[in-house]
Amino acid sequence: MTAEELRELINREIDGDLSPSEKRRLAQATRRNPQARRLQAELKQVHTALASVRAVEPPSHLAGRISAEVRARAAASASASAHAREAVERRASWLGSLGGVVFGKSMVRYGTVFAGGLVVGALAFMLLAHPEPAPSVPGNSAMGTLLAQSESFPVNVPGAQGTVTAVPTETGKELTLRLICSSATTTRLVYDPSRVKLENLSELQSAGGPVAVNNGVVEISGTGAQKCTLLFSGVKDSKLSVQIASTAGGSFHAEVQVH
Amino acid sequence: MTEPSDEDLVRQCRAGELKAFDMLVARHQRTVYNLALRMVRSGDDAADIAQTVFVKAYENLERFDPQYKFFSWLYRIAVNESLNAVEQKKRFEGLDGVDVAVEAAEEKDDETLRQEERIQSGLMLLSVDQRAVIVLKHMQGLSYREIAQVLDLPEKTVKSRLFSARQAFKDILKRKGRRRNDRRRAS
Repeated sequence: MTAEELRELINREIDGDLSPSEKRRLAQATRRNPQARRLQAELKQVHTALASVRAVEPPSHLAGRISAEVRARAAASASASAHAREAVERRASWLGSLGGVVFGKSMVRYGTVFAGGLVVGALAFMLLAHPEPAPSVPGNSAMGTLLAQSESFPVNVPGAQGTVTAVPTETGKELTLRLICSSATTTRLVYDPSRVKLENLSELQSAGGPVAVNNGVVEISGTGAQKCTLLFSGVKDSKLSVQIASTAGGSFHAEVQVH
Repeated sequence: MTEPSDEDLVRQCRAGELKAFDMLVARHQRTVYNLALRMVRSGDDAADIAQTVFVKAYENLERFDPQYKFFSWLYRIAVNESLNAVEQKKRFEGLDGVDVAVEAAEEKDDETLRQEERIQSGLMLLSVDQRAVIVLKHMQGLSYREIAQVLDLPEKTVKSRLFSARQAFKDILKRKGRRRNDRRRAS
């Protein structure tokens, strides 16, 4: 057996990949070869050392962060599709009117629009095959904003308008949300509870939906007014994330420096 | 009642059921987070990578081919995102952090923690390609075939890369052990 074959068998033995006959061949080879025995022992130690590393629990806020981000993306994507659909429908309606004007309603009524239908159909195909691009969702431009000091940031996205205001306190930040939501909107404040603590929640008004306070996530949802003041404290350099997503496709995301 | 399979949940997600995606996140976040953590070392970076992985998975769910396992596809995104993060970090910080981390590991009180830190800092000295196969094999318990699917490599390449990675890792641990002994003798 070559040194290369021996090395491969030792490695595959560690992975539990040897057949009984290969195991016997390896045992014979290592009996005669002290260097191979040393390599075998060292690689087994490596395997044991790596296997001893324990899995770490992900931060408790991670699933909440992912869920909020996925919902924001889903809302943005739904809005973009709706805009594209509206554009197509606008064009189709315009072409329909054009057809009516050119060929007359009586012709339509008596089923003699075959030739005209061909012309309109061809025109529709040419235009609908290349619909105008979906307009960008205005709310996306707010993503990634960092509210570090005493600041008020306007929220002006499809389905939700208002402000998010952050005011520093001795131990953290006081956050005030004032939103008027013309369509169903979910506002989520997501933070790492091992670094940030929700001290107080006041002036709460949520006209159309529930408010949930879980480990690391405050969620307000509904249509109409969403108002509240939240007092957070946190360790140095801690942050929280404000995520607003409306069913009209509005999406706002800002980071707030808590401390 | 039996738990829905990953494939069932993917089908529900494709039909617009966001709750089904939450279940996939709950089921796989620990694995994805730990994979990223072993690749990049920092817990904050690993959480960011895990978030990016799931968001990308959600956005590309239509492209997922159900003849493959969902977790293999997810692992593939996770490995790629981890490699991107390692590249970016290298560009900004260089490799100076590794030695500092090795010394920090020796200062910890708990022997188990010290050992884990030694192993993690040893992993960081491997090339990213070697680190990926070691993490997938030894820490995620994947088979040669599964690693080949995740990394899009022939099985034969996976084996030879894994065997050289183990050899390199063994040499790193040996060097570290010698240095530790020298330090002990000197103090």
